[in-house]
Amino acid sequence: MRTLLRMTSVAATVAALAFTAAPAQAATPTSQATANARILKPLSITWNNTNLNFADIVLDTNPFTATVRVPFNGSPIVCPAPLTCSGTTSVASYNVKGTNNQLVHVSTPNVTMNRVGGGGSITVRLLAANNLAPSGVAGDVLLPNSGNSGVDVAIGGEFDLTEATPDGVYTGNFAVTADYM
Amino acid sequence: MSRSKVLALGIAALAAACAGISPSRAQCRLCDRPTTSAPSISSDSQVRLEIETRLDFDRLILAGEGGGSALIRPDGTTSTEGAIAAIAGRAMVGSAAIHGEPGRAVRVEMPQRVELYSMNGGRITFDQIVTDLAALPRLDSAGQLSFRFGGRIRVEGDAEGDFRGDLPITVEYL
Repeated sequence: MRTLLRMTSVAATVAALAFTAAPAQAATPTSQATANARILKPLSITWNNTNLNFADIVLDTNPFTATVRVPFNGSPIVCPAPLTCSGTTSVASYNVKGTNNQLVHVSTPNVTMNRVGGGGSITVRLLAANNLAPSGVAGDVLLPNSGNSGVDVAIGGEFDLTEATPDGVYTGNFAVTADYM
Repeated sequence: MSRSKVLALGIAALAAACAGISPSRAQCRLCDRPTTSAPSISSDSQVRLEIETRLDFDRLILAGEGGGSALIRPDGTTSTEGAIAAIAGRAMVGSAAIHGEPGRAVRVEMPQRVELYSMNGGRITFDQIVTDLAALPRLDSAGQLSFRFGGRIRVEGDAEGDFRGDLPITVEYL
């Protein structure tokens, strides 16, 4: 009787161990997700107190169509025949500040110059410089630093003239904006 | 004499009772041959984690001096506070997929806070890390479970530049 009980007890113990042994918990090796962020300083654009100036342009009385251009890179004015251009031209200039090594786009909408005293207007297509030569979209600028230095962006322009354009002095104002790309 | 006979009969009766127990009965565990080795786990049943999209705040433009925070929730909604003007539209919530045995409950562990670093040594904090997992996540009938995660970035001082950090995730069966 004693022997029978002992055997029964041993068998039960072994069975209990077999019953409770659970499969090893499978665990993945820790996987690495990532988090990213780009922190940018506020972007600012300020005028450098220089205007876009086409100087003096003399028209022809014969029929013609010509485009006058003041390049943003400082080259001489493009003055096709039969026009005659004289005087000192200049480009407008703005300073853009932001975070180093960020691409910024300077937007330059068309501007309307109105004849002083009325009677005429000329639409100027503004052309903003880019510093991504040799290729690059006009107005795309790579900020070379952070903080107070910023980068100066020159703005030239062009417009069309015909023999019917009223002579006189034309002026206009324009707004320029800058955005991180 | 009679006592011995009774005792013998008692033993015989017990032996007969034991012999009468069929090893095939369902309740007789002791009749089965015990085993102590754990069953092998096939490669198909191992739990795996796959990162599908990284958590990306894209650009955070500071509106001025001082600190601020930006939050991306697991549902993709965002909000900002303090000097951070807005979160770019290209900001993305993180997502991952768990693969394993159909129907198994799993535990997903992620830190509550990590640091993001820039190339020039700058540091910002990424905390309040949360997921859209249920309280007791479980793999579906296909053995899969996808979830999304988000959190909050806190910016102090004059931090600027590109920041990046690792976000360790551990998944295991319960």
